[in-house]
Amino acid sequence: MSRARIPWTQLVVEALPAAAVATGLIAFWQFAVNHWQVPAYLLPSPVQVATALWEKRDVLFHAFWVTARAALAGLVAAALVGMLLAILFSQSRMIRTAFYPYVVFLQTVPIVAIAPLLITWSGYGQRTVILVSTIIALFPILSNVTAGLLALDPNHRDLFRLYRAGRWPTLLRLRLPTAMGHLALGLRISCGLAVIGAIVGEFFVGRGSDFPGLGAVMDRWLAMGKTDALIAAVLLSSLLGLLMFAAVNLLTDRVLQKYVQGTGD
Amino acid sequence: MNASSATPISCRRVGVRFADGRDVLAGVDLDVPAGRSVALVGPSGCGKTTLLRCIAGLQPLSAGTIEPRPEAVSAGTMAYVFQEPALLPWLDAVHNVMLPLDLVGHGAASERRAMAEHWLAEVGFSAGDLGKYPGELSGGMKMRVSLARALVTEPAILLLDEPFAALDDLLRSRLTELLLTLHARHPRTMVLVTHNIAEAILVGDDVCVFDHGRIGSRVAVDLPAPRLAQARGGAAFGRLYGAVSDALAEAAR
Repeated sequence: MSRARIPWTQLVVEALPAAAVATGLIAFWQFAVNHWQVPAYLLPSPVQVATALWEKRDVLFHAFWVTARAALAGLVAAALVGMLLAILFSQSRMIRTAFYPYVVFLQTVPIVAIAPLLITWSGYGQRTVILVSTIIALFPILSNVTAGLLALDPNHRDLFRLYRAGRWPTLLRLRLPTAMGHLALGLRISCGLAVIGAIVGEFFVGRGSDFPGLGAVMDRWLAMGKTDALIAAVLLSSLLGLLMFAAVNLLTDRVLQKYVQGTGD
Repeated sequence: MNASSATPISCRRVGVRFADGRDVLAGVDLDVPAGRSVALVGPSGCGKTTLLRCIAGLQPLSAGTIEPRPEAVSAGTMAYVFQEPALLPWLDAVHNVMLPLDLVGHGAASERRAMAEHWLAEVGFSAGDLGKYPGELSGGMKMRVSLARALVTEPAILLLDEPFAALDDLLRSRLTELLLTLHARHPRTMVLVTHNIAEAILVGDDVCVFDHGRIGSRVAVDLPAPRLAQARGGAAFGRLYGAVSDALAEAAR
């Protein structure tokens, strides 16, 4: 059974209100900057931002690519580590009660507080950026997948007990498939966090090196008062978050659909 | 997997006390001869499902014994049909039916698939729907898959916990007929829990009426086999229906 596809004309119609709001905001922004003679270092006009985006396109798109790779690596690492830890937690209540509080602790410690420490341990490089991204993106995946691994349908659990399925067959054939919907939810939450983590990591890493990521160039342009280029970089960061979210949605819809809805589509 | 020879069930003074101190079963004695069927009826919460789960080894006993002990028979000797179809949503129909064979490690994949397809055909499942997922199947189709999944290991003991309760009357009647046809073709020891008196009389060789954690009365069903739904109109059916109803009313007091 194929899922009903939404016609592109309908997508365009649905996107129109948001596009109209964006157009209105940009127009008002341009008008306000011109009308009240706002200095460019405080708030450049949309035209100035677009000009900066074009003029610094080589630096910006390279930075975009560097940050995208780090965020993606952070998300993948968070997914792998999160799933492995969740599997471990699902195997024993004692393991869960012993280690889960420390995972929550890791989640509650402000990343800006531990980022300098991570640099001390891991150096001024992409590895640290990926590490920060992984730490920020880990918790939603870990908590969701752990919940999914433990949320078995009682009838399914009885069915596996009836046929005396051991720990591994139950994990592979029941617990993990049951948790796929939860993994999809965790990935959707974490993909935005992975981008934030990469940018935060680059802020710190960029201060001690000429790191080319978006966070690092934003920090440099902030210090240089290049607000137009800074806003262009912020917009690219948002675009990266949106693209990551869309990619994760597409992936989870295609790959995990049957685990969630049982339609195999 | 070879058809297991039918196995008798013997419950002796079976007791189950839940964690809250409530005695759900209090000394149940029940014998089901090999190849025969018993229907358990009774008010809600009287312990019918608990007894079925005890027989399957899914609920530990607080007292008494049950033969065969679930751990003493090979996996697949007993099958259980739940109130809901309980299909795995990420597996298509044929793989849902193959699951018990996969879990007990029976034969090659091709053999498991052939057995699953055979039992899906036995329960009247269309060959064109083998690749459909549970989300694409109607309630009746899902229950057919659930029944095929229970039968695929050719169990000696078939335990059914209100399997058709969620279906409409017509579908329920059809699936009861299917169950009777399959039982006539492949006799196995069968215990059915139901709230439906007519279903209990049609399926059971005996109808046991639960009364406060015990079996209060046992009504022998002397209708000739096969007892398809046409038997409902007869005088003998009416007499049995009255006897079970009276016993249920007594149990509800």
